[in-house]
Amino acid sequence: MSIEIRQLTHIYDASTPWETIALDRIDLTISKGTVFGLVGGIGSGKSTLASLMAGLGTPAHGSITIDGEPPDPGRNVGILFQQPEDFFFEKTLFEDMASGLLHLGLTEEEVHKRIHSTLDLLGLDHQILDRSPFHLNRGTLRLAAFATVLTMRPGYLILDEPTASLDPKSRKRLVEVIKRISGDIAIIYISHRLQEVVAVSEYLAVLEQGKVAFTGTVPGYLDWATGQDAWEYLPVLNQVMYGLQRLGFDVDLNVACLEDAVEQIRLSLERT
Amino acid sequence: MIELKDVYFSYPSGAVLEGIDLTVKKGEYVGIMGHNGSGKTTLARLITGLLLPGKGYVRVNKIFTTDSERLLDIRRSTGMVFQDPDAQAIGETVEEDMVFGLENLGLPVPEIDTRIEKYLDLLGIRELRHRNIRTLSGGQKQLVNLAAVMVMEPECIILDEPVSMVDARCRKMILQHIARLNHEGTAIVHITHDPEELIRCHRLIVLSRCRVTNQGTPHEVFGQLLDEKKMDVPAPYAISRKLGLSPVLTIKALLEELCRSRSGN
Repeated sequence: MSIEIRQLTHIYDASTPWETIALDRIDLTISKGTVFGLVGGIGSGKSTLASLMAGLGTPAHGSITIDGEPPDPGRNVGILFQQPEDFFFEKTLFEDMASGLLHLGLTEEEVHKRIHSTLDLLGLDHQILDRSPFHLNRGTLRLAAFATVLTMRPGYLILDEPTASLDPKSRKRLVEVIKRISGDIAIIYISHRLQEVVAVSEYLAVLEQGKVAFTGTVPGYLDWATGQDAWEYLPVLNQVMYGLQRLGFDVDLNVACLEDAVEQIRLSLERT
Repeated sequence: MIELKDVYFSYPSGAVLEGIDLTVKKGEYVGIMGHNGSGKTTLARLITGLLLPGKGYVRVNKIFTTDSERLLDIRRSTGMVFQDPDAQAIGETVEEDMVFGLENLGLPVPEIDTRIEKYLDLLGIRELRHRNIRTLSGGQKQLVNLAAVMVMEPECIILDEPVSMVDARCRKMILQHIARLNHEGTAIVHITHDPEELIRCHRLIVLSRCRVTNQGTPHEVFGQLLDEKKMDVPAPYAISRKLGLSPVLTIKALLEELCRSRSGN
């Protein structure tokens, strides 16, 4: 049970002077039941890979299969786009959330059931269903967009910058939910917030100019980044720890949270 | 140059801002923090005259934003970089998007060309000049939007979550350019959730529940926020305070403090 990506290549504006190779012979395997982080600089191909995995667009070369089948959006794979708030346009949030499900051919009863149970899962107030999406704040709307994708019950879920422009409180909430649901499905987590990617993912891949520069576990990733002295690939807390290691402090590179980092530094100071 | 006096604003769903007093002086760098729904974006829209206050007033260079005949003057002196990168693009290609505003300013063609080149180079996105905006990533769009506002060389730039979609290296580069523009005299209003982005600002303002709750230098405000446990502060600041060191805002300064502390033992 996995997404298999083989020799995937994608080109924008092909055969024009502005031809851009967005993805260059990508090989990746993403197994069910894991959170798979995807990081890389801007224009490295993350969003292109995301849309191809979601079955939006056809790759120029190579293949993507999901449990052996081609990607079928809304059925075997779901995607939460960047800035999903822009995709709401109905009079009430309920109508927006229901439209995709009705499109899948579900009964009204089933639609109600799925929407309400998903709101429970995310801890969202059911009253927001009667509100206009245009009157909800960004944090709530983002969670609602996430809920909408979840109602489709995809086995593979792609989240493209799910926490961008969310405040820390809404961010933490979203990350908690992601951790909670990831046992049953695979989540592909794309973000520039390295601290978050490292906290939420079990495996991750780094894209650089359309190529896979690294793929492996999170501790492996931290070693890879420090091995080439690439500070920009380290989350802030790991930057602090790496800086201290280089100055001869006896601290671990891999810290879970701020309190953990503070404790490690305190102990190291006491030892000297 | 910007003055908000006792400003109230409500959407049909409820009040967003209540009794806001705020001034931004010429050349000042003001950071604004707050949770989702705290009214940050509304505040930015009020400053540029996209929204009008329900009570109180907003003036830019002494012009009231309600003065529709002089709204163009306000728009010329303030440039806004929107949080949603798709909300701003007008042209088909990056170049067209940047040309649009400059032609409206009535600049001669060679000058337009030089300016576009200057700002695309500055942000390191020269190769995007002829790209279709539709095919750009979220982060690339953010850079293009920033360039499209910078190229107008306004007196004040208002940034609403300007680096929410870019990687660490790019974020650092953009923040440096913002600081440099400010150093050269451009006033900056920088709105974000991320305290790490605001360590260079002169004055930091926290919005919460429709009001200004904290105001001061980054050191003062982060200190208050850490004590109140209300909002995140930059990690180096939190670590230095929790270890009882003198508070610092950057990783470099934190490492220096820790070395000093070690040799003092």
